[in-house]
Amino acid sequence: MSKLLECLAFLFAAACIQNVVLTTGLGSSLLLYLGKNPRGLKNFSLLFLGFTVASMCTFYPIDLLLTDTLGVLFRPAVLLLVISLWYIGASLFALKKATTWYAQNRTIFPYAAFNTAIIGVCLMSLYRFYNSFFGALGLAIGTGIGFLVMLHVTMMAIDRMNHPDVPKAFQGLPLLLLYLGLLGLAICGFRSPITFI
Amino acid sequence: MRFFPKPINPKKRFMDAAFFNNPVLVRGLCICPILTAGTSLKNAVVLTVCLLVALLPSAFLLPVLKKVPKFYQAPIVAVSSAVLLVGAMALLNFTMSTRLYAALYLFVPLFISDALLGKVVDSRQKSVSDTAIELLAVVVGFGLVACGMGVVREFVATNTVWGVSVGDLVNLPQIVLPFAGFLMLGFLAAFFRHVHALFSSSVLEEETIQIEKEDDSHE
Repeated sequence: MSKLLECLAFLFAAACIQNVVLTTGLGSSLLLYLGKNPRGLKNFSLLFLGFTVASMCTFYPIDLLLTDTLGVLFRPAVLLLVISLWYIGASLFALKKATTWYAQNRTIFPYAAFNTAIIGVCLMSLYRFYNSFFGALGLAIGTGIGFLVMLHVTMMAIDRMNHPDVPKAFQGLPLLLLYLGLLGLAICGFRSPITFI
Repeated sequence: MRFFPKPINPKKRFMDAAFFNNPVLVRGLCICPILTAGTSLKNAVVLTVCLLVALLPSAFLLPVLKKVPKFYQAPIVAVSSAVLLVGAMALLNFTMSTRLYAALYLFVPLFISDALLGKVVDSRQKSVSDTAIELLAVVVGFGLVACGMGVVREFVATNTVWGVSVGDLVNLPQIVLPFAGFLMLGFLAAFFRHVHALFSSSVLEEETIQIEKEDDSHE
């Protein structure tokens, strides 16, 4: 029961009250990139969530073994190796089983797998929170959901940001950054037992 | 999407990649490490060096991997970047500062994704020297923004610059939080765009005047 609660606490914190994108900035570059180049967002959402959960579930047991100085030093390289294996596996699987779908979506695969949100959250999990596997799982799912929520909130905002009343210098990226900053400021007002700051 | 057209001259290419198409303020890349770890000048300098290290494989290894299937290219570049960054971090930890290493440990690997995102350094169909110029320009462009933000945030949060106290003028420790980074970057990007618009319109006016003078002299 306590493990389930830990899982839910991390999930809820990462997805909502301490949204991982707004409180840590993880995934912000990808968010802005996808905001400018929206393509296959539904498929991207599924892939992103899948890669986050799969990478966390595989990396967590390995991470428990990397406790000495050299292990800690090589953690990022090991994580990238894990993400790479999942990426290659998923690409090969999609190429064989869903060739047409893969041909349409192959450009979004690298962005869904190699991004700051997945790398940051996997590295942060044990190093900062010392959480159990269920906590890490909750964090991974919460990050996936939190990023997707922010992606859709950003997409909605982008439509309104090119209003002619907006000064030219602020149109596009500057206004988007200010918007994310103000959302982040609002999120800081929430209190949570789990904080990413 | 590029904000300004791409020039051919190497000097112009450098200026274009570093300033007019700045990776942070115009293209919105490499933002995450600045928001989270660019809170002091020392951090910003280390981040800039780490970006250079992280971008090396995507700049020079990717053109060599043309014959490798596409879904193997990104993992090879990512793992190579990670290994190079491990070396850079080991150097930082064992020979320079353990404190800086501890402060940046979680954030330096984030550059690996930026190395792949949106082709920060577009090395396809380019000579090695052109790629090197573009790589250097991207790093300089990032470094200027990161160091500028780092100086301001360090000064406002702790009244120090490069760890040296410069009096007790302001005290706003919240400026090191990511939301403040978003706001600062937003205003900086708008200011940059405004200045560039003024600069390009004045250059356009000068060029127009010169063309008119030439036309008059011909007449």
